[in-house]
Amino acid sequence: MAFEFAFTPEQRLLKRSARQFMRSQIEPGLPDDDWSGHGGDSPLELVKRMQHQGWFGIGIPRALGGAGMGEVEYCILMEEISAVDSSLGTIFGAHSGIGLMPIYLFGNDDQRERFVRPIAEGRHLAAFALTEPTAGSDAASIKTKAVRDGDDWLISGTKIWCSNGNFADTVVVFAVTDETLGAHGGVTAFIVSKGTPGFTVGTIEDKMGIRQSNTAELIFDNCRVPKQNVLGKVGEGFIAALTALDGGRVGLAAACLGACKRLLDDCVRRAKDRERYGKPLGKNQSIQWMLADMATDIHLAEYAVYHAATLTNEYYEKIAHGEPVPRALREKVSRAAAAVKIHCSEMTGRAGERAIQIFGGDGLKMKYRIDRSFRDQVITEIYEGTNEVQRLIIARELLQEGA
Amino acid sequence: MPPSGARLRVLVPVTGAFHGKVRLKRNGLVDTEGVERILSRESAQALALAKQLAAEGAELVVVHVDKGGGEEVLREALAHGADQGVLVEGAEKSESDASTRATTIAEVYKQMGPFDAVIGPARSEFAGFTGTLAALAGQLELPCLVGVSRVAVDGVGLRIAYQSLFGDYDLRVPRPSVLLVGDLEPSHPTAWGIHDAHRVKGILRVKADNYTVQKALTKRQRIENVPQESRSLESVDGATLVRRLRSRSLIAEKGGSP
Ligand SMILES: Cc1cc2nc3c(=O)[nH]c(=O)nc-3n(C[C@H](O)[C@H](O)[C@H](O)COP(=O)(O)OP(=O)(O)OC[C@H]3O[C@@H](n4cnc5c(N)ncnc54)[C@H](O)[C@@H]3O)c2cc1C
Repeated sequence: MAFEFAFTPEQRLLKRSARQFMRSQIEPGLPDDDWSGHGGDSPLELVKRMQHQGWFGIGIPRALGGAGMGEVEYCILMEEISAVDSSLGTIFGAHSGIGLMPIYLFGNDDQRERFVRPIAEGRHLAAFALTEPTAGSDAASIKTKAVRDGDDWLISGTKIWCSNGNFADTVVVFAVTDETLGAHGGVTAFIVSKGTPGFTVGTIEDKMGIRQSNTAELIFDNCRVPKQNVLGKVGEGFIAALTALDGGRVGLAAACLGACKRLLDDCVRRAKDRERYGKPLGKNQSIQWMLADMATDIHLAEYAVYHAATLTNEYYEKIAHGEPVPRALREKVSRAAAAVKIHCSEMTGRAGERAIQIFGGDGLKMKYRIDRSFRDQVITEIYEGTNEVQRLIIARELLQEGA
Repeated sequence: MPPSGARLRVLVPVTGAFHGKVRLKRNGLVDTEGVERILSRESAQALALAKQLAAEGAELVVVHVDKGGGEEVLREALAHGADQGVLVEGAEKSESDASTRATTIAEVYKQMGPFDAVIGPARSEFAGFTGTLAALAGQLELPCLVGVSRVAVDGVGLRIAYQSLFGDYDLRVPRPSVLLVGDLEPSHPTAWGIHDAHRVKGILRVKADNYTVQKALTKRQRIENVPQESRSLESVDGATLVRRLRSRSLIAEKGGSP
């Protein structure tokens, strides 16, 4: 029997049209220089145009205003968006993968109507606020608190590194609701709307990479949130966070895949066009090997990413429809997500170094955007769980299996 | 006459294009095996024009005469926002030319009409689609305008902007008319549109053979029908052909440059 692993006609069309749209409508609007001037602002006008393409609710059912597709299609978009710009990929991923998805997966009908619909219809943007000054890798030790006050909750604390945090309409905020219970049982997820009294935006980070994706500090000072905005059950917020992060990591891997493919295209063109010692660079075996290694990485990554996306899709469909999720499936997804996140982020790092080498001095010039890919890649080994933490996830499971 | 008070209806004939590497076979024919068929850029431009009428409430019916891989071409057209698709099947093996295609599309026009406009691409990937749609306009006795970049409903007619070699025009044309799109940014399908095109919207399949009423002759039949004495084609052997081409300086003399 053949092992068939191919996109459907619908997916092929989505991929082709996303590529065309990104390269003809979005890329020309990006600044050549992301370093100075307005280089650090998120290009919200371009984001709006992408929202109008129906991409920002790709995995949400049509009945809720979404595009009725799933995780494979989400990854297709991540690839094509990040092939043009990793900052846009981060804005899209923070919105769809970790901002919107937990509300859809764990929200009740009322929350889906109030929060998911405007997002899926392309009117609102979302964000995910878990990390704190004292809790990054060790996310279970967050300090932000939520205390009950009649029918409401009062949230107090500071979140950092929140992608989209300064402009998102809807933020999923994780807070401790019972200090005695630890992360599993003691953390609850809340849906907080922009402009809620007590919720303000603090510092916006100035970063070396993904400069056009804003990363904000969010300050909650007795921020009053009605009980209708508790996402899922009280005490089950950490599970919601981990579930969203699984899909987020697969999306991030797809983003790296897209960025890497673009780098390879640029390098191949350069190897054909540039002559040194009277022949194209690509005639040298040392350059050929670099290209072949990049292509090999990409080839393997592509299968792994879409396999992980297929698994995640099955996992998310079960959760969304309230069906029981077999433990084996959950573990398979976590492991696949961790593996593709590690492989793809590190492959993009290798590709960035090779690309600069192939471009020579020009690789450092902003106008070729190779330097930007290089700077943008660094974060992919850190956010959505560092690669060290992903290795811990995989190793823990391996050793458990062996026990 | 346009259907009074009824919803405006527009027929959009679309063409396909090859996506990916097309190779030449040893026999000189194009090898398209495994190459994806997609909607041509010109058809996406035609849909962008037709969508200007859709914004005024028009229903868009896309029609594609299939030469293989046509369903995907048509679904892509639906993804751009067309409401209904008609796939004319069975034309894969027959030779076709502008006149044959026009007859087929004219039958769809008559059977699925009435329509207020036909909006189509001015080119296809290998040849001018202008010929097909001009022939269609001729067969249906409708006005035909090329290079249209804007269209809107104007009373019982249509207001259009179009470009020609002589300048830019803004004029009123009757309904129905055949409008061939000019230089316009192609429409881009949304994810919502792509979903609905594949999972919600239906395609009406019709057989090319059903359109036997005045079915046009194929190119070969037409050549065969020409009386022997007036045929301009003759078969020549290779050596004769080379001699003739040389005598007209179309190829180089042996050993010399052209
Ligand atoms: C640009 C950007 C955008 C971000 N967006 C978001 C967002 O939208 N929402 C959000 O909630 N967070 C976001 N983050 C936060 C991100 O997820 C954290 O930065 C990440 O989880 C790492 O936490 P940390 O920076 O505190 O590093 P630390 O936890 O301090 O880790 C420092 C180093 O120690 C290693 N380390 C830590 N613990 C161990 C261990 N047990 N074993 C081995 N090594 C270990 C880490 O791997 C890392 O190399 C973002 C961060 C950045 C930089």
